[in-house]
Amino acid sequence: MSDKNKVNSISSTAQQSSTPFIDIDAYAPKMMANRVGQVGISKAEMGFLTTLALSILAGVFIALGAQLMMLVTHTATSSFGLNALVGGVVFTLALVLIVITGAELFTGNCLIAMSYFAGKITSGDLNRNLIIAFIGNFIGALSIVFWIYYSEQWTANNHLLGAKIVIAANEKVNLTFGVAFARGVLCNSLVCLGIWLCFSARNNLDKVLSLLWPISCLMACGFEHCVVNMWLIPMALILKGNRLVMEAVERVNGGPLDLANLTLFKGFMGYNLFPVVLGNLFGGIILVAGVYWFAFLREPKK
Amino acid sequence: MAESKTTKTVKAKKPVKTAKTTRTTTTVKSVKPAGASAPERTRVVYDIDAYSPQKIAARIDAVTAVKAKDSKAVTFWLGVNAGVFIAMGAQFATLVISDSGLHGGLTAVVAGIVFCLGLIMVVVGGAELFTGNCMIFIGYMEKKITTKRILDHWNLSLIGNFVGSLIVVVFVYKAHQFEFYNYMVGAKALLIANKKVNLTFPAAFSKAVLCNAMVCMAVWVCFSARNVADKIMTLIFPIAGFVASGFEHLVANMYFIPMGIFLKGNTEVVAAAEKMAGKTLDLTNLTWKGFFVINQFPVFLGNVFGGVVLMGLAFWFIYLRPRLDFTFTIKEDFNKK
Repeated sequence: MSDKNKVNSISSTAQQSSTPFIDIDAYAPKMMANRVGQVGISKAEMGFLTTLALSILAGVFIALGAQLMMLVTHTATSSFGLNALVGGVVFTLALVLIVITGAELFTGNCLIAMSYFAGKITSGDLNRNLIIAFIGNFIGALSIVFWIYYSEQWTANNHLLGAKIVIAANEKVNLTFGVAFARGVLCNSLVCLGIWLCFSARNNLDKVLSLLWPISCLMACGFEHCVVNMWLIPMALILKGNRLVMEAVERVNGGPLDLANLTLFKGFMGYNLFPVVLGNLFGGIILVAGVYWFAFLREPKK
Repeated sequence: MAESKTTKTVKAKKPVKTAKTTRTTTTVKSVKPAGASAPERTRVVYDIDAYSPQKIAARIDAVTAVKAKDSKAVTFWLGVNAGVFIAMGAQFATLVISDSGLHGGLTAVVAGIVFCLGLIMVVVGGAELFTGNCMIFIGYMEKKITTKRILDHWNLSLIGNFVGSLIVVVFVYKAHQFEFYNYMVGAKALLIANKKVNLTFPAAFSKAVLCNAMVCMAVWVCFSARNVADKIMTLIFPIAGFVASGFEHLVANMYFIPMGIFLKGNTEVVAAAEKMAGKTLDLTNLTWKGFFVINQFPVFLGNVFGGVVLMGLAFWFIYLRPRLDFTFTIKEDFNKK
């Protein structure tokens, strides 16, 4: 063990002692929690118009993802599970755009409740952000309803795409309260977990890969995401009036479909959006933000 | 100490360098003034490579020390989280392969890849998974955690995993996911559960050994990763591999079998499952007793053996065991005489 040996292995000794240390590892959960807390503060400080504009963008992105998912799965006649998987994978488009561009998504913003639990923002700040995001998401989703309707994309494959949208929306407005709530909880737990994983990411590849599994899972498994429904069900409400689409629905369904519940206020707002929003809030705020706040941000009582 | 070494090396090298510069003065002179001919060039080495196996072992040691300081409530809730994550992956896999038109092997691979959801969330998001935690045995061998704490840690994470899995079972059942595709999803879940409670003890044990060896291997390679993409890409292969091969994971079974027990009472699901299997099903073993005795007991033993002995102890032996310094001085001893 002479000095000569150590000189030869200079690179390893230098790494331990005198090399400037740059931390490029993925963030550990504790640091992720701190970063979420910081993001909560910056979101609370953001002005009204900026928040609204960013949340309109989020609504647009989600609607684009949802229409892509409908397009990809609308001609499936067998292996529905695998088709749903592909649909979920393409839907990840929406969340990738949202996370990378920093848009304000109602469901994803439930995660900043961690910041509220940690006492960094007030409940008023949290409510303000969630309410603006909700309204903005609604406006954004409806704007895509407008563009998609006038683009006549729904006439694709002999109106099969329109039929798929109507059938999917009809399933969503015929859920009981308990089922819609449970699906909402599962959905937003996965959305918030996907965004939580993104807080560990250093670069965009990290973000895309960490979003891919949770987001494709929630879409493939048919869980209820309130912003997706803000696009899907209004789209179906418009397409319901089209004779050719309804003929396609009958062809797919093998008979007339009961669309009695597919209405704006009773079906969409009452049967779907209300329980789904409650489920989304419970899943995101209590099950994800609450648990991670408890594990990583809680000040231990002395 | 290290600094003194580096200064030593610089001193040792200096005369050599000046000799070189004097030899090449004719070319250098025109470019640089003589005083600055030997600038102190510090070569900065940023270490951004993936961690080497020795460092992986050291990092697992460090993580064990951190985990030993967690309060019990935190360990339990992170255990619940892990149970939830694995159950999410399990239900995702069930749904995707429920009515697959691909042949069996390819379907199994797809199921494995989507099942990675659970492990990705555990590894990146932070959670205490019992099977993965077998790896902290390395830290125990290095005395980073006391015997009582490691047993507590395993117990708490195991109970937490069970609670988390049951939460997802209840939510997925309440979400009526089993109705999808004409009850095919429920039928598939029932068939998977029934298969798992009809294993013999040696089959369940050896499948569990293989399973946790692969899970702990995934954890091991993840500790080599620098960023999230590394982690995910290294996870996919071992995790998809063990799921596709049909090995028995303790925590995944905590979702699959209770789900089967819930679905057993649903006549439509049983009818669909019998249609899918093409024969009448014998569901007598699909009970809580069957769950704990036939499946969980041997799988628990197998997972612990595979994780603690085959992976934890083996890697500790390879990288961290105390080096016995045998220096054979026989020749010198003879020479002395």
